[in-house]
Amino acid sequence: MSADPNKLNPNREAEPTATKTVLPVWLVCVLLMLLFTAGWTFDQDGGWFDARVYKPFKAPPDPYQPPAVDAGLYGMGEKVYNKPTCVACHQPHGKGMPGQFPSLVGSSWITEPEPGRVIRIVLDGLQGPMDVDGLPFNGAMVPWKDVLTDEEIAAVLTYVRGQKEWGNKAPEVTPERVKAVREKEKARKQSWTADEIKKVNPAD
Amino acid sequence: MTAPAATSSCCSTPAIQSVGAIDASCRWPVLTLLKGAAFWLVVSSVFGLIASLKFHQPTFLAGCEWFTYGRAYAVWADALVYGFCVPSALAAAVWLIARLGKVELHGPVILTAAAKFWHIGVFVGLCGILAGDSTGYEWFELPRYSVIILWAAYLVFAVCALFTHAARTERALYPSHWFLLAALFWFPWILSTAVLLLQLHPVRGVAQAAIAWWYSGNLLVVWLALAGLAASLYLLPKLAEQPLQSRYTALFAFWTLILFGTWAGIPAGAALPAWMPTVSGNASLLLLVPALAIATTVRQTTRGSTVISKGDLLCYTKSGACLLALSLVLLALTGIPKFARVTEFTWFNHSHTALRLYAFAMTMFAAAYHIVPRVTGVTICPRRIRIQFWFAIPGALLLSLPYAVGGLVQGVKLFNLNLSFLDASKASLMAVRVATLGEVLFLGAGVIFLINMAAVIFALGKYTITAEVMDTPKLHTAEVRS
Repeated sequence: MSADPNKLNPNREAEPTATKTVLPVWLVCVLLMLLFTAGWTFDQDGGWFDARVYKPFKAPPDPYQPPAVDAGLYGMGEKVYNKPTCVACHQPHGKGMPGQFPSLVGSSWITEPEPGRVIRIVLDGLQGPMDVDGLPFNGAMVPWKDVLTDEEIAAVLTYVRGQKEWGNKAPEVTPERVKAVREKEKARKQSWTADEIKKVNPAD
Repeated sequence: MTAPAATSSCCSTPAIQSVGAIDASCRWPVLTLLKGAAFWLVVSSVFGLIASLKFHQPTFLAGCEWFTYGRAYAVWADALVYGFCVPSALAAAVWLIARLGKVELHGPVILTAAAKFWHIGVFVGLCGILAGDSTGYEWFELPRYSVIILWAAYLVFAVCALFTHAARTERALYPSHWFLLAALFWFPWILSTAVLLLQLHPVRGVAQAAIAWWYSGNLLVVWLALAGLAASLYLLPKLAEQPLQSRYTALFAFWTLILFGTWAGIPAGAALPAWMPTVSGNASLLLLVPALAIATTVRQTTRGSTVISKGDLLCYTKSGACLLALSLVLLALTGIPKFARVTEFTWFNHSHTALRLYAFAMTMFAAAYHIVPRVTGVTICPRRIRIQFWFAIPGALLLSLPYAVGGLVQGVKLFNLNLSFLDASKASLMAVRVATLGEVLFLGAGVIFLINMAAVIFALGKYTITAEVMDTPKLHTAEVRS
């Protein structure tokens, strides 16, 4: 480190100058192209300076897909049950409401090996006094034949009859079976009563 | 410290003054600004290192609230911008205005005092941030009581620089003049707006965020580039010993920079009316034009130069201007909506901001090493300058570019719905580690810069009497052996 005041190179100390070479044309071209792009983007997304226009929010697809444990009729039946159809009266837990809606859990009506009666009840509904596993009920279940397809009825019955958490282990109901029953009871205009349904053969 | 021999007054008759007298009139303002700047650069690098270490050593200094990440990062940013960038730019500005206008600097005593006030303001502000008084606006964390000091000190510089400019004896303007004068007034304009609308009479709701983004965009894109290019455009032709190529390319860069740069800064996903982020993104994209103009100027000006520079001032200037252009290119990429969607919530934006700041630092090192020997007559050891370059350039690259790569990987992983947020964040961990290495290297460069500035002041102290005797107008300046 020393004071060294006399090493001035006069050429180097001259202030810089600038040439007057013209601007490269390609720079102007790039500018114009980008201006066009920017104008395009603004027209698409900018909302023309309107303070009320916001960018729409586009959420990515939900990565959570519920695991398909039981596909087929059973899985479809679970969806139909909770559509809401059955769940409105018989509740998510399937136990219904005491005195109003009978329980489906372990019910002898539901878990009959042959589903002839329960298909008829779902198709045309049921009303009037009845006895379910010793408990009295006097209500009405609406007919579903105009709302649900054969496949949906078969699915929801398969689900209700096979719901393991409820302890139900009855075999599945096929859409063909539902279709056959629907054909046989085509003429029926009102809901079943308990007495009527007891006269039907479950295997029919 | 002795006051400079202020031979000029405001009403001095315009007479061609000797280069020595002009340089001597700038001595104390320039030195006061630069020694503080060197100190704050080291402070900033230390806090940058602490902030960067927090990502892979979360327990480091975790028990002390003064060194928590939020405060350390804010001190890094504000010490760098307000402590280093602004004073060093002012030092270059007053010297350039005096030199190019061939006139002695007006009010050197007031300017020296203003420089000291500026550094006091930075000190007060950084202590305020560390004590928890940060405003919470990124790049504008300084508390109100310190910003007022900075604002007043800056105004003194702007006014004195303008008086000097008005009294210039060389009437023709050099391209650096446009950049200098624009930068001189850009900063008080944006600072006044930010102080008024964010601190004195805060606006409500999202308008605050919009103003904070506007301010930081203008500060870190427009002002920083203007101030840096003012020095680059002077140093490049002078050090390469060739004329600047060309006046019109520089003019083109100037207008495109201030026209488009002032709109940039609002991120693409901001919860503002759609036109604001859209216009801002478009402006960022258009910044590709000044970036290309700068790169062209650097290439054409230095092409065919016979000056051999291996880590000397020409290397500093060239790398500073090229890295500025590169950072503007990275910024322009964020103007592409699809790209911005990926990088928006990642390290990518930090990458080009840091690159621009440290590119500016490279330019300012060159300016300081060019100016200080001239205003003091003291030579700086060229080997130390060269060693500093080989610390600074890998440091500047390593602490910014890995974030760009890490940010891209992080952004792509954020869009992969099968990965958790934590996994996506961890993807940038390697980039942060490399950046920590960069921080260490740049800290080394900062320390060498501080040593060089201290050595000049020490030598000048020993030498004061002689310097005063041989002061204006006979003082010849020394050349850094390059």
